[in-house]
Amino acid sequence: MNDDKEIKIVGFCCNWCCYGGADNAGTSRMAYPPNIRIIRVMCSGRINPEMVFKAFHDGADGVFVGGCHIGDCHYDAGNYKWRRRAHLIRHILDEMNIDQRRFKHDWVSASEGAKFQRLMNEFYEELSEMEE
Amino acid sequence: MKYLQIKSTNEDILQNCENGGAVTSLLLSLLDDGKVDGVLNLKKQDNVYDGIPTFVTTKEELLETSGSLHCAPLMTSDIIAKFLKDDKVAVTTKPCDAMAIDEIIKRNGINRDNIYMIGLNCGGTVSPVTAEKMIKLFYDVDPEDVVKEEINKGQFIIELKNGEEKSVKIDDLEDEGYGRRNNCQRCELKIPRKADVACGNWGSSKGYTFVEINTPKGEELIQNAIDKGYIEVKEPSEKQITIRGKVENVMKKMAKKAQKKQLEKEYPTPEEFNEILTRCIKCYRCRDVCPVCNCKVCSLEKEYFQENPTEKPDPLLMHGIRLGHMSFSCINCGQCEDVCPMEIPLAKMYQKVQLKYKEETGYVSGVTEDKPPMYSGMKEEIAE
Amino acid sequence: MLTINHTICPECSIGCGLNVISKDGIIVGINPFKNHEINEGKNCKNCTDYINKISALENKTFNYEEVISDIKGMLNNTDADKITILTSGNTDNNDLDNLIKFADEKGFDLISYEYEFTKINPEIIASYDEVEKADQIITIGDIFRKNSLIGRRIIHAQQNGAKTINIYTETNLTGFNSDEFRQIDSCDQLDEIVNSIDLTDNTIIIINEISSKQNYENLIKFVEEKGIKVLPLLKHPNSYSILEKTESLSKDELANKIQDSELLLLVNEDPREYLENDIFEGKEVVSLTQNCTDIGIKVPLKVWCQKDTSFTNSAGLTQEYSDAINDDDNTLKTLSEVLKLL
Repeated sequence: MNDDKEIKIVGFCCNWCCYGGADNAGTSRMAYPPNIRIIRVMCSGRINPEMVFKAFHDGADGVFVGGCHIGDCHYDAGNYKWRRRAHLIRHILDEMNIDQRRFKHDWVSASEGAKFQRLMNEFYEELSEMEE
Repeated sequence: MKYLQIKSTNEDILQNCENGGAVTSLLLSLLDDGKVDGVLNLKKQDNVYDGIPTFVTTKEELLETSGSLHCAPLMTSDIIAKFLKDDKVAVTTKPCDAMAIDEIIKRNGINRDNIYMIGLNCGGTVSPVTAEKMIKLFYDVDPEDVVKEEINKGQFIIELKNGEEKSVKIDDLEDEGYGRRNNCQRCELKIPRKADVACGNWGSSKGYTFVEINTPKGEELIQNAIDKGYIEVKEPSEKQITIRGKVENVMKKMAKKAQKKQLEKEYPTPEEFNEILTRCIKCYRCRDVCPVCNCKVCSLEKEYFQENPTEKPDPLLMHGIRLGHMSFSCINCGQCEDVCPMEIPLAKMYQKVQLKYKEETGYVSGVTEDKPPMYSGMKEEIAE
Repeated sequence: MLTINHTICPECSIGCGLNVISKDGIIVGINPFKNHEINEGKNCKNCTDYINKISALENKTFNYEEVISDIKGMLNNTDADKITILTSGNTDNNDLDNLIKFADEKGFDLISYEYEFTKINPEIIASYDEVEKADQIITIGDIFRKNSLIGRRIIHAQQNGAKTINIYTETNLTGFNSDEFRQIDSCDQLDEIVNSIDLTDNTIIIINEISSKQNYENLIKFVEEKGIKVLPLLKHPNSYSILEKTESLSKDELANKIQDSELLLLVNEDPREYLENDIFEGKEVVSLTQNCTDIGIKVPLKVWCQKDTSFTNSAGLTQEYSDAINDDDNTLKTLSEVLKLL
């Protein structure tokens, strides 16, 4: 990523829910900061810590991971697996001297465009405050 | 659970052994019976500070490995997983070896049915170079004159060529930065209960090894050794069992204290630690010796994690990834720190994350029966 | 049969110990040699990479007869002054002594290339322990990455309060971890730059890369004048002995020498690492190596840890290790054995 001052957020969104949520926000014309670059993955259970670290390494100011609500995973338990990893990632970020607040994960269903919009706005604001 | 005091019936073993010679006798019984293809044990090389993992297949070779070496902190689990996977092996295991083997078994790297684990109770090991330095400094003795060393009742005891014994309190040594390896000071597991039997001298009568039998396999092994006359046994008294328990508990408490000291009070700040990690040359030695790391293809070597060597290295792409892969299973064996050419206190960082993980999930690496929750398919309810 | 034994690292000139693991006579990995005074069980990437490379060699036998008679014929058909032996610091002390004897007897020139390093007075060479006690260390080259176990000594010195300055042509790991980094365009200005640093009595210069013999000699002259110490980290495990016992040429001298020769015996050396690839065009080449160099007539030799070996490290310490593999099936010959047949 190039080196401008603009805040960069990398968002990993699961195909079945969160990506749909982002899509829903888009088609419903709910504005959210354009700083997020969405990477679609098949399931949040597919995300591993090194993907998050690679994003930080390449200059992301924040990393967001969105999956299906607990209980709604398209592959039964992928988001459980992700949740365990997310907890570990937080501990590791502490050791790596990266503020935990730069890493967020949440559950967004395909119909929750509004929730996606709110999450992105909040995350953007939090990151902006941290830059100051 | 069953406790026994064991004494070898073999004169050769009794001459070289630490206490009752139970370990070597049990290994010998397995070798003689053809239950194992060989025994993986530490063998003394040039002096008491120099041990080397050795795979022995004959009685004569086995007898040469008798006796303990506290100053040769080497691990054997990775040797089994990498090179002896298809052999039937008997192996002596310190608690860290036992934990390591357990973690590898959980990753399908070792078949438990193929191995006999003869556990050794352990209060800690000393790095050989530190040992030589402190023997010069605290004992005023030429390290080459030492023929035997022992850790007993909080003392590090050395025996000299002329038969003289000298001892110094381990606490005094450790206050000055010598003594046991840092990770051993922080280690809470003193008796390897994942091994088939756990042998030691805590609480034992003189000339006997105190043995705790942990598995049906261990029970069968001992019964067989009794039947064939390799060992003689007697029951320990209630008092002896209590003493043993007390020793274990005292050491556990000390370990907790050392954890507080090393992982909290004296731990570098995140900024300082990041600075230290800048030294990393990515030699991957920490990965190579890590008993938990058992993958065939390693993420660290993937093309998209490579960095330009003329740029400042990013710890995220090395230790971040390693932490993500193994920290929840870190058994605090300290091998990574021992082999790091750049003196990075890796074991501290890894154990710190494991302890946080343990607090959150209850998973004690190398001890908990089930696989790490990270690998399970369960649907647990946890606070977000 | 699984065997683990002590040996010495054959990659650079630091002289680290390691335990080599072999299965049925084939090297499969390494294990830390924790009681070794130089590296205390620590090894670096150079070491592991080399072992991985060596462990791919599964060749245990070779039919020497035919090749030896071919080489004999070539030696007899060429004028002795057109035959040159080029060796390197990968040749151990015993083999080197026999090679020198062989060259003397036959009247062949024996030369080496040690990356522009030359023989210097041993009294100005700093020991590894002295590095830890220095109060100022000037590093030339990327010591941390290329000679990590000396990097470790520098870290110890830093922890003891030493000031560190790194000089190199590009940003590097040693520079990132030094108090000061000075980027240079070329080593030509090296002595000037070093001269501009405030030296203390206990300053040590550690160098692992130099562009020319001339620059190296200037630097050594500077060290001698100022009464400080230097630690040149040479390329190969026995480079110290090579500098002591053979004529070490500069790159240009070497290229000329090769041009003047008709038959070249490469002993544990492959000049294509530092010279043009077509340097041997029109020449007859015989390569005697422990790791299959694919050039000319190939004569494989036993690897260093399959025989009794002794190397002399950068600080002048000679270490001896015996056969760490103990494989009776391996009938490869050592250099000394091959020389006897020629």
